[in-house]
Amino acid sequence: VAVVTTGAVPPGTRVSTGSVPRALEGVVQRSACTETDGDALLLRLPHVGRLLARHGDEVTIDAPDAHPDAVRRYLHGPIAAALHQQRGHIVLRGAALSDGRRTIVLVGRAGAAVPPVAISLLRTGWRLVAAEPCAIDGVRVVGGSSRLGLWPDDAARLQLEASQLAPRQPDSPILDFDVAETSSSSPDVRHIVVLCRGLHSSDVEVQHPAGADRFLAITPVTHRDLAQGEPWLGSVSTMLDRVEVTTLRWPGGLELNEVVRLVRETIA
Amino acid sequence: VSGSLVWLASYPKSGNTWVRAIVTAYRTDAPVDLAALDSDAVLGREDVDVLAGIDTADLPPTVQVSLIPCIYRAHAARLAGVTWAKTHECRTVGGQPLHPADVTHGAVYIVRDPRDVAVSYADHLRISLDAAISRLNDPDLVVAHAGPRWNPQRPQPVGRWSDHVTGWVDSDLAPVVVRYEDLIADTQRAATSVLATSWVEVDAGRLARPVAAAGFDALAAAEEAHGFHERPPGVDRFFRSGRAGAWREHLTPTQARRIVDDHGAVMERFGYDTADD
Repeated sequence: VAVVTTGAVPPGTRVSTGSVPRALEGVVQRSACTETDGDALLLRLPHVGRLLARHGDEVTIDAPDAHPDAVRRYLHGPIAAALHQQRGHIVLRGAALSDGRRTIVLVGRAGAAVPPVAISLLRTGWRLVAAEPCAIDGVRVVGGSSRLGLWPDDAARLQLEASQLAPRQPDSPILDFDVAETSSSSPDVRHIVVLCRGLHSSDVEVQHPAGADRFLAITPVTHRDLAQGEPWLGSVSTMLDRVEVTTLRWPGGLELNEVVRLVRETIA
Repeated sequence: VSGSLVWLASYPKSGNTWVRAIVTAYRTDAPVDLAALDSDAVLGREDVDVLAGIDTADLPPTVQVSLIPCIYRAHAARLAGVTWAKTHECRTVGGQPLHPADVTHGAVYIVRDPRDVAVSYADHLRISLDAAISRLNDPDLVVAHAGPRWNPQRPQPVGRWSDHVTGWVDSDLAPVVVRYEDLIADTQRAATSVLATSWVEVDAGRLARPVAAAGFDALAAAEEAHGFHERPPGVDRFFRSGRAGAWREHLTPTQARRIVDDHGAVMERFGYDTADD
């Protein structure tokens, strides 16, 4: 048993190896790789094994033949996200950055280019507070990774040195850029920017959703593995009352520096 | 057969989209909307991630392929009724079926002369004919494979043309096999056998209108007017020719012979003339 004190997994979490059941009883939500009984989250992965997160501070790993880097990827990804949710935190798919006065969270689904945009902002004085999975309690960032995952073409575009990058896990196409220094205490979150890559559009769309549309804007970029009901809605509602939300849809063919320019205009 | 998915399987550029248009036109009895064709392919990364419950783009390719049957099961579990599912994937990888029998309602396999497939594929991917011919004989061919950049689709193992055809046609799913050339020659008759895999009884009197609505000229006109989101960037037309035997105008005798050398046995099984002109 090891007690985790760093990384995306919430502090104080006990991680151990042992037998994990193939299925949970009383499943309320199931996907191809996960199932939950409303509290615990079971993660099942071919070629890797099974991981179980429960009580917000307990992880059991049953993956005797898996590469340690593969286990680490899931521990610091979906398992960390589940643990934060079990603690009542909102977990966003994105990266939180601070300029010392305020914290913004760039969020987006796969392909939205959050990590390269975040790295571009880091080069202009912003500090990384937390990368995916980015956990928020109220309007405070309370957890997340220090690693931003990049596709090789984005890493090349950003002219990152090979020594700064490491494969996320064996055979993974994604390269992790580890931001060694993260901002340990950050101001409150003031702004959530939802990035969307528009696959079939040629126009830039910037929207400032209001009311229920704010929920709709951030729901697809929020981890909701445990099928939370009213408590989750209450937490999100509290957060949304205090932050600005902007959605920025950019055409798929747009150059990265143009996307960065749009984001900078949005958060100015 | 007790599941809800009807597989609409084919090698790429073999008429799959045309059949989807016919199926859609029959169901809606309206002009074809290319943006709303029946048969959710469960290919988009966002859909896949929701069904998987985790982000999948950074998984090693072997894990992503292993997840395909699980993704289809999760997809089927959310369906209310019988639904078409387009696929260009080969039937098995490493001996493991990608399309679970337990969620299968039926299957249709469309086979097309590989010489015409090569011509269409070269145009679709903007590659040379020789490169397209090589792809048709590549046992490791994967569409939308994990390369150096983000891909909006999940990887789809396809493999060699011959293996693709026999893998499906001889599989436990016992698909209704339709030749592209027969679809052209007698669309109504071929469409009847296709539709019968999902609807118990096909109303032959209702077929003429959807067959016309999904005719090649109608689809090409719809693409011209409204575009088609499945057309690759930089390609002028998705619905390009829609003819059988067009390879004679495009392939050199050497190229045509190369395809016959690679796939002659399976071509002959499906009635394609392999003799040199």
